[in-house]
Amino acid sequence: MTRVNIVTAVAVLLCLGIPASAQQAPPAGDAAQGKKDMVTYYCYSCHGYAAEGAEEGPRIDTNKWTQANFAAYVRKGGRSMPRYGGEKQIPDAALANIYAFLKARPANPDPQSLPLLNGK
Amino acid sequence: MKQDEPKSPVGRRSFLMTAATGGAALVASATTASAAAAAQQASAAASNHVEVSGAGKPGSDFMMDVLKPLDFEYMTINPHSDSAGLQESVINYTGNKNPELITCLHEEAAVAMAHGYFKIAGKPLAALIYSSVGLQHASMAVYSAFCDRVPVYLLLGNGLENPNSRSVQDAAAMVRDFTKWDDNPISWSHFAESAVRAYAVAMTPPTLPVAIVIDKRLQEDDIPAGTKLRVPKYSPNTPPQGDTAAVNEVAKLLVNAEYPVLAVERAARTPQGLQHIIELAELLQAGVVDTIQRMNFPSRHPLAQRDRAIREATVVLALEMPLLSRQRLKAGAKLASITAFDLFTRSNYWHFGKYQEADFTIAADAEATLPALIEAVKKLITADRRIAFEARGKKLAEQYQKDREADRVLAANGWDGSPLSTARVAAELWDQIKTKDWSLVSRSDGMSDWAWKLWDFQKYYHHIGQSGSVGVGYSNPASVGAALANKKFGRLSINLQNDGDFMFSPGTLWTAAHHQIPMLTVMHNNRAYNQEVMWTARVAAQRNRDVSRSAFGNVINSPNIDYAQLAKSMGWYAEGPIENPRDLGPAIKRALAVVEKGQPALLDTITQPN
Repeated sequence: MTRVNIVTAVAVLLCLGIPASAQQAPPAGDAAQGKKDMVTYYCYSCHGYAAEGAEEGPRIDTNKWTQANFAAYVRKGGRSMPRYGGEKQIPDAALANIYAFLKARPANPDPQSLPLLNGK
Repeated sequence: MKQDEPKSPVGRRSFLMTAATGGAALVASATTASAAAAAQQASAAASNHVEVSGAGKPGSDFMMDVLKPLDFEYMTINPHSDSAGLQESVINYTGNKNPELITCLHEEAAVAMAHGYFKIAGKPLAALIYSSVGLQHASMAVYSAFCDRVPVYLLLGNGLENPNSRSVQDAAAMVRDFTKWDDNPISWSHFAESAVRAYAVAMTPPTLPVAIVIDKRLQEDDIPAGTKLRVPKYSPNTPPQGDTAAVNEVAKLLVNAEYPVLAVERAARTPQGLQHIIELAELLQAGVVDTIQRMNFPSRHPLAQRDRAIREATVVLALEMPLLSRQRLKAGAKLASITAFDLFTRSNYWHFGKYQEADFTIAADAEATLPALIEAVKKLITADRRIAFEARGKKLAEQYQKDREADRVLAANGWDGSPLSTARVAAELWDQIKTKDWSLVSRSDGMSDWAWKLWDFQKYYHHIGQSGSVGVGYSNPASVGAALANKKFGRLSINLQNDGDFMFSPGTLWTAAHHQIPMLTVMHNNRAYNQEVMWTARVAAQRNRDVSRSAFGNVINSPNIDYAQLAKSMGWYAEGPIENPRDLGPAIKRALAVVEKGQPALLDTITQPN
């Protein structure tokens, strides 16, 4: 997914008009289960096993996404993102677990710190 | 193992004698043309005249007399009885040298090897295929070569005298939708004409596969004593160049454009084409968008741009990119196209895509036309335009740097993860091959294009482009074919190999080991047909159905294939499965040491899906 698609995705979320403060906070999920749910519901096939991002699916950055916005986007879908509209596609509990897993991931290293990305 | 065919009755032999006499008569009649032409032809005939004297020279020996001047270094084969005559002539008459037989365990591999070989060697390799059952196997690879504009020279052994389930009346019919020319010679002189003509047709842009059926009896019968046969002289066609007036119009369009972009696909047919594109881009300070179907433009050139440049351009010149639709351009932008595509095409398979709707199309070979276009551009550039070009070039270089930096940030994602990040695999490899004379002999569009984004592609043989048809089973054999072409230059051949694609032709590994073709294969082993996993999940979600069942029919696990053991069983050095990123560097080092001694090596790296 390109940077344009990420911008589109964020715009879609804003259009959903879901201010976090207006909602009840969704229940927190289980990070360990969330890692498994990434596979069960095939999130990994586009985004990678830890949603670190790939050509088909961008990195899901939980600094930019609240749990509510994240869940709403998955339910609605986007230009390239399939619509997981209901419990049959992915239960609310699994969405919470996946979000918890994403939140608990270590940050990506700074590319400047990686010699293999700084050589000629 | 294929059954032997019984010998022919006498009636067929007498028919062939008549045909041979007719061929000699044709030579005689040709010399009655005009004086100048007659003198030329007589001279050519004298220089190419092969007199077959004495009894008992097999027909296939003469066939090799015809094929030898075409300079096939190799002939791939999956052996079969209906080509035993020609095969024996290759072995004993021409000494298994130029061509040397390359044994393949599947006909698809035999043709795909020829596909990869051409993209390094710049000349075709012959593939000796069983006309019926073998060609059925090979047809996927023939289609890939057709879509990729690669001339594979097919020789199809066929026996009709005692017809059986492997005989076929019109052998080439199966692949006629994706070959350029074919023939079924009925005499030795007919074979001579058609074999040379086929080569000329194949090598004329658009360069495409051709097929010659070689009758079993024609191969195995002895040519009667005293028969005079002729080897026609191969006369290469000059590639078609664009009309001068049209080229001048395109030059004007480019020089006057605010934001011209060169969109290149198969533009660099040879190393010279790569230099022409660089020269044109630098003259104009124009961005270059490359679909990398060939090594068209250096990956680290500051004028190398991403797809978005096509949407932003005011003028796009598509060079051998007939599939670039004007729908991708912004309103008001002009699209010019130089391509040989419409000079020969077929309609059954949709390799031609949507109609281009260019504003200006030149039906000619792009590489052959570029020198004239460059000269025309040079004549039009004024001091004012030069200033504008410099400013544009500076902006493009800044964008290029931004794109590179963005790539580095993305490459760091999941850097230490397991399964391995494909960026990590590409970066680890690059670190160890960058000082060597390397060549990527596989597709680069798998593994999220990380090789293209991180490596420094400059020389023509650094990359052979993609598969052509985006079909199946290309990479494994094509990479071995390209590595075969690289071998005499001592180049390090690297294959980035998808696991699903690999399993269509695993026997190719044996061919590489048997013929001592050094190369390093690094697996992109995501244990699935991952594209199809994504598509199935997407459709299930759209239909409000259970997404969690999308594995059915799509995954390659339970059990996991042990590619390292598979490779070792066929004579390769191999390690794996490798799942810890810290193990990558040392494993690559060990494998490269083996490859540099002449043995092929494989690393089974377990990767992220993309």
